[in-house]
Amino acid sequence: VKSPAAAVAIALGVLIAGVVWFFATQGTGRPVTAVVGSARHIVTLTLGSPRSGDQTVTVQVTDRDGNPYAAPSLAFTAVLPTMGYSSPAMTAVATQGAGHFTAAGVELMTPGIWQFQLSLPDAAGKDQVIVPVSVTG
Amino acid sequence: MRMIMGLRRVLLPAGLVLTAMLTAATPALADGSTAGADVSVAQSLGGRELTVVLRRITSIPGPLHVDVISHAGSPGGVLRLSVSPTGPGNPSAGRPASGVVTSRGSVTLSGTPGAFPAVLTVDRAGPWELTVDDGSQLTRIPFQAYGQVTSPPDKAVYAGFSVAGLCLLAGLLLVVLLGRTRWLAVVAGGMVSGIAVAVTGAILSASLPLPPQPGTQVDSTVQNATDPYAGLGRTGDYSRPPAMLLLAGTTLPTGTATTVGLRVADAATGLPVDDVVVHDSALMHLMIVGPGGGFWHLHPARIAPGRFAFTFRAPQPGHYAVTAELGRRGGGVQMLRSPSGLDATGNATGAADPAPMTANQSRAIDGTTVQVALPIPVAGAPSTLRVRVGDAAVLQPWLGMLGHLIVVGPMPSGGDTGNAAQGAAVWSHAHAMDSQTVMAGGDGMAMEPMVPMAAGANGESLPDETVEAYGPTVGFTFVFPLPGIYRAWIQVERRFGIVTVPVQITVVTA
Repeated sequence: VKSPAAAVAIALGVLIAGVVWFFATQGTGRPVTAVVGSARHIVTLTLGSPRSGDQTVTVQVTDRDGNPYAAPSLAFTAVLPTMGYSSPAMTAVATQGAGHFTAAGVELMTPGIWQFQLSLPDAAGKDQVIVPVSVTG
Repeated sequence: MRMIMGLRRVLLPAGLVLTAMLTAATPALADGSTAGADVSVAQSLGGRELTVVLRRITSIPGPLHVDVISHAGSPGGVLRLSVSPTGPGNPSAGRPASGVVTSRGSVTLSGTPGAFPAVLTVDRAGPWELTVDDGSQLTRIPFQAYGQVTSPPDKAVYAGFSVAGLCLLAGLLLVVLLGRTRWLAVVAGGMVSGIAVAVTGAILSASLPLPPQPGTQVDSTVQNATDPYAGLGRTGDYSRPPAMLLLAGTTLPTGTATTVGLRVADAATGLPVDDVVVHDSALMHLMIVGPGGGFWHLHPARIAPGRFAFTFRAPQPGHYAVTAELGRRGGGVQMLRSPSGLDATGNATGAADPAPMTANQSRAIDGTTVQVALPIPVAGAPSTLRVRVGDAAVLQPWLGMLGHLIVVGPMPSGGDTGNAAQGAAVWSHAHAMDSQTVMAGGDGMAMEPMVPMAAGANGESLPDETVEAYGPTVGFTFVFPLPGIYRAWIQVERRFGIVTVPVQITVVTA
């Protein structure tokens, strides 16, 4: 480098790269996956984009030994406790084989920590798993 | 050469400043589990009144030290303890999913009051449940294991000093080894920028508010477990709707220990409330006023999400008014008065409840001399009640406080206290906190040491109830909203037993 101008250009380049890196790693819109277990089941819930609006929820359910939860559909509600809001009962249908369920168009109308409350009845009776997910604006 | 000398003049002080900043900034970092102090949880489990103390967790994975403190009159026996994680996990974490027991232990109560220790293991940060099982009833106590958290200003400090250090090194290499002085502007600029960022971060680090705390303020999620600063804007208002108290049954026989179920439901959605946090050292404070003026202060066991249970033996037939105090995650401590209460049928058992103390008098209660100083309060103006329990400073903090005052009224003098309490306009719970209240009497009840009210930094914890060092006088200041006759009960802990002092106060119109 032969001139101060070039040095300044390099410094600016480094600065811009840093800013781009900072925002690229914030990534609030990337899918989020959470695993929550009960005594009998393990739920792996993925929210396509943890932002408010209509979202797609995919759920994988197994028993504690890893066997898929064999049911044609899964009943759940989306609850925002801080607002005192509960969605109507919704259904995720088995789409990609046993134990995999998908629900599209789940309306998360405002940011907050939402709870997906899933009912998992089986031969032993009722079971419920609650999966909390942070949803941003 | 002059250039190098000049550089040295700049770099040497810069290096010293940098070293000083690095060492000086460290204590100010908001690293670590500042929220992780000891947690005391009172539990009325079966026939025992216990306090379960979860000591501060200092490393994860690491030990969880639990002390079970038994009270006078609690029988000996074995309590089985276990912990299970309850929160959401990351699929790549490689640990078993939450919902199953990961560690077990037990304590053997000797029958003598005191603290009985056990050690369990926690393997991850996030929400947990400690189950205490006496063989016939169990309680599930939620608690939070806090992991290490680096705040954004702390990250700026680390990044800034790293950049400054690299620039310093690069500058030295360029000038000393390669003789390239033209680069100095860039390198020195980078170093100054790095130090500026780091110093700004260090100054902000100590004063910026903490992010919403998973467990006490917001639900734990996968996102806030790894970075509580991520995602949500910090509005400062995390409160939830009020709760409703539902008694499973409203009748019980006299003289028989009966398990009464309670449900707590959200007033907006009707869903079970499973976000009850430890408030005043208990998940729920249940207060019962009986027909003969008897008073019970119980801490129901949490048997399932939104479901509690307590064991109650009603001595006399009649109505028992029931009120619960609890706090939900996000703030908002609330008092839930059961609209039904409990009705006991059968014959009276045991001795009649002692009459309330009505003036400045003394009386032996449970073998201890109790002296009360009751003012004649004016409605709407603060008045101070004081009580001296025994002669020595051996009172123990109970539920984090030196004393508790429960005031119910106005009500008719004498008669059925349970029914009167059910419909009473005022139902309050005040705490004894300061020495000023005791001093205000000016009648020779001397100033005593008081329980510290705030935990220190770095996870220091308040004295628990094994510390017998306070009192013997406690004072309460309360503003009676309405004139009339009030029943009140003052409670303190002495020699691991709860002393309950019944009083009656007549409040006059201004």
